[in-house]
Amino acid sequence: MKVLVIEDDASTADYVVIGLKEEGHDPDHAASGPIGLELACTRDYDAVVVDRMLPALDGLSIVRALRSSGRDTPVIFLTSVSGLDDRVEGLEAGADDYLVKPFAFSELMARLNALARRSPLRREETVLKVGDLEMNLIARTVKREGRDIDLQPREFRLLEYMMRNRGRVLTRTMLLERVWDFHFDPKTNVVETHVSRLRSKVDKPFAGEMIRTVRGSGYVLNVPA
Amino acid sequence: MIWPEELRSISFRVALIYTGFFVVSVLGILGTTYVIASNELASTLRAQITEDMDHLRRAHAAGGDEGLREDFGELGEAASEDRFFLVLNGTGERLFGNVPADLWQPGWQDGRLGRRAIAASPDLAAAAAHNEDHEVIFLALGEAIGPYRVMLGRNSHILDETQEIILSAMWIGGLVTAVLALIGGFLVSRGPTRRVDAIALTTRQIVEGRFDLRLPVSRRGDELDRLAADINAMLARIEMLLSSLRQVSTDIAHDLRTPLARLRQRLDAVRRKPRAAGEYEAAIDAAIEESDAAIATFHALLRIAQIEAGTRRSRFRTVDLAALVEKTAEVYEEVAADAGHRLVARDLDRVDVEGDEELLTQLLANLIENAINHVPAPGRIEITLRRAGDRVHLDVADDGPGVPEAERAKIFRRLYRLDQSRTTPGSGLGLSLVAAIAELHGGTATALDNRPGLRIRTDMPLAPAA
Repeated sequence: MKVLVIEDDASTADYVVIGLKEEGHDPDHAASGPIGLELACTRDYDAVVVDRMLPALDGLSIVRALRSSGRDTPVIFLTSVSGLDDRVEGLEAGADDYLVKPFAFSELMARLNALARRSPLRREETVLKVGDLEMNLIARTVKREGRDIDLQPREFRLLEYMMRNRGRVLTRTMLLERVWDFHFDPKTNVVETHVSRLRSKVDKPFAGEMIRTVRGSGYVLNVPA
Repeated sequence: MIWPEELRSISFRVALIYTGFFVVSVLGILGTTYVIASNELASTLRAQITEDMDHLRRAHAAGGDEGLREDFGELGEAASEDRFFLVLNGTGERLFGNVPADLWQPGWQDGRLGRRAIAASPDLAAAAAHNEDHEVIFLALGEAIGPYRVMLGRNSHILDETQEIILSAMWIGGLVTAVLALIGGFLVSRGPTRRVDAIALTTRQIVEGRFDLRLPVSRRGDELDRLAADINAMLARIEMLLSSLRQVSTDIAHDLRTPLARLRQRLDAVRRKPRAAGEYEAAIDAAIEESDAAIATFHALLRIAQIEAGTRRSRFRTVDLAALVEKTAEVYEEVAADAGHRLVARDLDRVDVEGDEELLTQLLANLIENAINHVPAPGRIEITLRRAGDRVHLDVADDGPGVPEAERAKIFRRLYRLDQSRTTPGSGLGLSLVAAIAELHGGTATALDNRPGLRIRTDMPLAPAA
């Protein structure tokens, strides 16, 4: 995918650009706000990574300018402090996601993947299907191989999020934010516990593992290999 | 021009302005008195003269020239240095009177008499002798009655004297008022000036680093006291922020040196001689983990600092606390169960608070995680939410080993860890964050004895009723 990285700090920019290249993507780098905005407005990108603090034109202004020019390119915001308000401000300005520096590259990659391939039609689906796993969003029922699976509301939300993002790596932090609305790092294994409970209902009684652990990154749900 | 301190004070300026007003009003009152009294006196004199003249006319009408002559005799007896009269015949010769004939003039006359006229009349001379300027102010009415020309007059110097008395009263009154007001202003301004001086002195000492000092507040409760109280509250807040800042920097220095040193040792150890690829990978993974832990500590410290700064208050909304507790407890039920504990949320009063939902969730999550991580399994963790007047008590209680009384207040300090919990996970920041979030919401977090175990109570104000 084509990704624009707007970042003035050379070290962070290298980290992201080299990482993207190694993953087989095609990154462009802009070291200043005005150049970044110009590129973002003139070329087609699958996603833009913007630093919050930039000389001349800051990240918030870039996102606002981009959005007011009518472009809906997915934007990930990078904030250097664990800013309580930075996240809200970034999302209000029109960014789709945010990440606090320093971050693991796998975290950025997972978020880029989740954003860049989002299909606008998917939101209106009433039935999600991955292989023989089927979720009815209206009736709130889940079936695998035609057998009903009884899920708690939280487990249902977790599975729904994973099914909507089938085949994509979902990090611990992404699950915490999207499923539980936790914007902090818990000191207990909240995610592991819930994923393991879900597995015991969705995977264990059936043949073929759908929820896989990706070491050092997170989890991915897909048709059994 | 350098004024003495008292004269530069606000209260003295006010006193000065009042002095001005007082003097102007004293002069106004006396001035009015002056005009009214002068007019009154003048018209009284004129009325007396007119009445005497009318009396002569009536006497002439009743008794003719003869009758009039009798009255002239009476006039002569009444004549004095204050009362004058003059009767001339048709040819202008003086028949009676105590003033010279040439003063005769028809109609009213009012003015000072010359020296020659005074010298010609003993009564006028006597009147003049009483006056400092040796003159006579002469008020007279001249009319023709029958064959005579009659003039009746008064010494109106008395009018002049009255006016002078009032005028000097004005000067003295104005002067006394001004002096009294100035002295009063000086005295009035001295009290507040002294108090302002005391405040200024304290302020200078605070500027020089005595952050423990507070401005003097008297029991009067006046404007100065309210101002001083507000400034004291501000100072307390600043002192709190400063000391927390100092503590954070010390804590960071102490606490982050250890993981950095460990990180360096590990990298150094693996670098010393060539190793297998697997060993390098393991060392790098360990190094990443170690630095992640240090970064997490940094984040937590920054987050606490940001919460303490209080900027987050602008995003406060009404939060249904019971719903928040239910939601969070639900998330942790299974986590607690996996660790061998039982997590129960009960007695949840329906209460709203003004707050930040995200931070309140973190507060509760930290308390639950603290219990999960420090209570030996199997433990019972109980969350209750009770309304207490206009406050709400959010309690997270466990039946673990608890915290010795002497240490209970310290567990909310940054990076503070009990000896018994050195080996359990955590950075020693979870409860500091709880305290910071509670304080952001106008509340407190306290550790209580749960007999057995620990009960941490977050006491917050309820949202004001809509």
